[in-house]
Amino acid sequence: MSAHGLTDDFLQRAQHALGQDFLRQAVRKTTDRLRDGRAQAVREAGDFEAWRDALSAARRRAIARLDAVLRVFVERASAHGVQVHFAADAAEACAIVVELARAKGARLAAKGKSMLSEEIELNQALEAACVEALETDLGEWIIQLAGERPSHIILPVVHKPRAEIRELFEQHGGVTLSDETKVLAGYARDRLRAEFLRADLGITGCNMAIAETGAVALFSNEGNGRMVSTLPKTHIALMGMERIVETRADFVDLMRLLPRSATGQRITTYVNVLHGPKRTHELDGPEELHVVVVDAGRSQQLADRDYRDALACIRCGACLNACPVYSTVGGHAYGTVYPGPIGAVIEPLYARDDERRAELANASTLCGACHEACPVRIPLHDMLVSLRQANARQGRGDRSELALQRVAARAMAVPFVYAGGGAVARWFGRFVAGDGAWPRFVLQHTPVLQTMARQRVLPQPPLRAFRDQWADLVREDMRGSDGR
Amino acid sequence: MSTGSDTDVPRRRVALMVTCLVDQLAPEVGVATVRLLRRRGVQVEFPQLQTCCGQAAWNSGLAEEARALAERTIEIFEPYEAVVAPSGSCMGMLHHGYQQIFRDDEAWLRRARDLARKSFELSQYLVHEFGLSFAAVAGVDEHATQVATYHPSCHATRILGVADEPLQLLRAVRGLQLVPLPRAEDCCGFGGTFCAKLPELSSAIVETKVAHIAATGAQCVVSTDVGCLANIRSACAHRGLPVEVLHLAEVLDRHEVAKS
Amino acid sequence: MDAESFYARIASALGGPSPALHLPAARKAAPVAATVTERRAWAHLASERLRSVGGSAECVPRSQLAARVQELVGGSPVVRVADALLPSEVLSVLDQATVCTAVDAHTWREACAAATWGVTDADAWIAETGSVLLCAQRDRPRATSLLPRHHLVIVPLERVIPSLEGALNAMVDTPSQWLLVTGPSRTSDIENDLTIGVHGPAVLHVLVVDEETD
Repeated sequence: MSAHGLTDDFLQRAQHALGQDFLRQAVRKTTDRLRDGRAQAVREAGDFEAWRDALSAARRRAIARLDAVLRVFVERASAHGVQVHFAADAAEACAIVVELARAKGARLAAKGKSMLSEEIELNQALEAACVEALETDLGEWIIQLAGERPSHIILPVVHKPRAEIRELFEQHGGVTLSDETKVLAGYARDRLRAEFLRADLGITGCNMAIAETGAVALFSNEGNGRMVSTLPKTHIALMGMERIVETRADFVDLMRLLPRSATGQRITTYVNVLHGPKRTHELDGPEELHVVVVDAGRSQQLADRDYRDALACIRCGACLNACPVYSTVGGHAYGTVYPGPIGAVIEPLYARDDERRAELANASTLCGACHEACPVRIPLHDMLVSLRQANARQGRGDRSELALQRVAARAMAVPFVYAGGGAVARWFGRFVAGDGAWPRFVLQHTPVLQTMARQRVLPQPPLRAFRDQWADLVREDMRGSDGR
Repeated sequence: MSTGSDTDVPRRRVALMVTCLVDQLAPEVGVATVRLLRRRGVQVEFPQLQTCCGQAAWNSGLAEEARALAERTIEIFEPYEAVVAPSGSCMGMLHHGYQQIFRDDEAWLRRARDLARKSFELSQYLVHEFGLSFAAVAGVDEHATQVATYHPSCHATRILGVADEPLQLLRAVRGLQLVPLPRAEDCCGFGGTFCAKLPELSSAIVETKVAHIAATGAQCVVSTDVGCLANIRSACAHRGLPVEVLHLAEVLDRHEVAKS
Repeated sequence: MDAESFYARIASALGGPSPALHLPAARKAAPVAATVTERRAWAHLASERLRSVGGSAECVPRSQLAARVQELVGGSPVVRVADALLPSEVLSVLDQATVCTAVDAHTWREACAAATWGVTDADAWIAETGSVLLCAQRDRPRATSLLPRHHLVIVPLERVIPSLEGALNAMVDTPSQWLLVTGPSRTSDIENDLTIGVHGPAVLHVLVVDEETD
């Protein structure tokens, strides 16, 4: 464990990321493009703050009475033939899906993009049950071929150069391709089309459920979401239990805010709202629609007033794009399914004993840009402080550093200790200031400050503190002069 | 210009919350602040018992210690008519952080709110109390205009709600030519203990900020918070960028002093 | 886990079960009344919005509709929605090249996959976003607008509406699904480089049929 309360994991991954030129420029380009898109959309919209007010309220309202809202959803969805299942945790959610797949004799499950399915590790469960789980979102398919995790909630594969994508496709298909985007996308289109047509099972997430009409809504740009929810005989939608609004009017606010917050689009190419399987007189569409409502740590979050508002998240990724840490090192540095500010908050909550996730609370400058960008105004920066408090209470992280910080904080409360300590620190600071050999040597052996030695030249501290100069300032005032 | 002529009008009295960082590491900012206020006829008090607002402790997760510091701060400053600090982040702590600290204690919460209502970051106080028509602002040698750019500290803007008061003040200084900073709203990477815990990451973030500063061609970068300034100064030095890194108080004071 | 236990967990987290939520069943509102001038203005806005995302649109007087469709579709393989949903003069043009009529899902799917153009009507065209609203119904198989390479929408001017709220009100009861289509399919997944035409159609063209002549 390092000297600063972080296991080496985040530090190591972040440092690794910092050394990767392609990754750095790719992540920066992505986050700049997406947040500029959002900023443009906000300027053009005019009503953006009013929409934000409405959606923030709508999400909190639904969450505050989630049991009642879900009851209405289930009742109305069931009336249209939706089969609703409930999963307490990830394992149960996987079991339900695997059992459905078995019951249908499914050999191939075509998947639309679903962060929840990543979270519960569904693909592994399906593969273990001899069901091929095929990602069909272009980015998700690429990372599936590469055996990686997505590095961004909306654009999963921006960390990957096109040459690597080409190589993956060439290996996969035994073909020769060029690096051009059109060619690569065309290859994916042709290969995956056949799969859409032969898949037994379609699995998607659920961007938002609507209680009023018992609906499940899917937002997408590529059309694969439509494919997997239309062509296979059975469609399963995985739904985080908190992903629901009460009314269609609330849903209109979401339609206005989600695409703009994510990429700056006025609306995604496709918004698909499903009320049930195909009606008997309809020609095509799935014969069965199953919704698996998943808890997996969300009810625990609901119980905790410090973190309940994080359930309002609509998974737009705006916080990632606004975050100085994310936009510098990218998603893989976090080492979790959800990266960025929202990930740094919910991942420790989903696995409360995991120290590796707990450390993510420190991967933030607390600049508040996430809260500013969030369409539903989640105070992520305050939640990160709450997580740091939980870490301190439970003694997670570097205990000696924490003890030192406590001593310092308590010392700050006693004026003469503060003043005396400050004087000592300034005196000591003269020995570690500047970039001479001796100061650097001393700094490298000073606890707490030693990691700074790797990156900083410390300035020469002042001889006198402000409070030491106050008497002079009083005299100055009495004389009526101030150096002029 | 002496302000003693209006003896019939009671002088505004302000308690200076100098902040621990300014007190110990950048006292010149505190001195400049005092002089700026006095030139406007403000009587400045300095409660000697003040130490720290508790922000560092709070951000490190030390809730109890932060609360103890917050209680002290409230007790020390609440007797005064107004409180001014040359720091957006410390004022932000007082306004927003104290709401979090005392959320379950109605009595302390009320006291925190009462104090917040009369507590200001320096630029807020100057603009709202005096507008921009203060007599002291003047140009230096008109031909020696300094090109400056402004970095808005994250806590000052997002937490406290400082808007364009610093820019308004800087624009009123005739010796300064302001140029906009690209992606000004981006964090400088200081983050309090963040720069000590994750120095490489902090450096990478400040390098981006410094690249933006360099792109402006500015000779001087200004902010309301010494944490940001120290971080930016060290990064500019590292890059060999010859930019003066100054607190708003220092810039205003310098230009006012030069009037004679 | 059974439903009641699931709700009970939530209730426990909230400090007690929530009172029942009474949401009136969604009602279809009266359609927005508007003049021809207003609808043409909305169509103009919808066109701009659709164009900005790579789609295309035009207003066509009824008298020229058949000729225009002929120009667009030519002799390419076409699949289309049922007779009832399209203007009759268009049917004769399309049927010169129509691959087959919808018989069963499998055959229809193959026909759609082989077709160049999928021709549908729309329940509404929305000015706010340029989106086409399609509710699933027997006469409008889903694959028609999904599998062919190009999607042509023929919609009467009176179905052009201003806003997304209006879309909800334009729906017939609660269809098994409703869909907003706003442009050709797209992705920027590869190095942030936008490409048009992924899984869904690569072209979306809207023909608004204007009944009145100026």
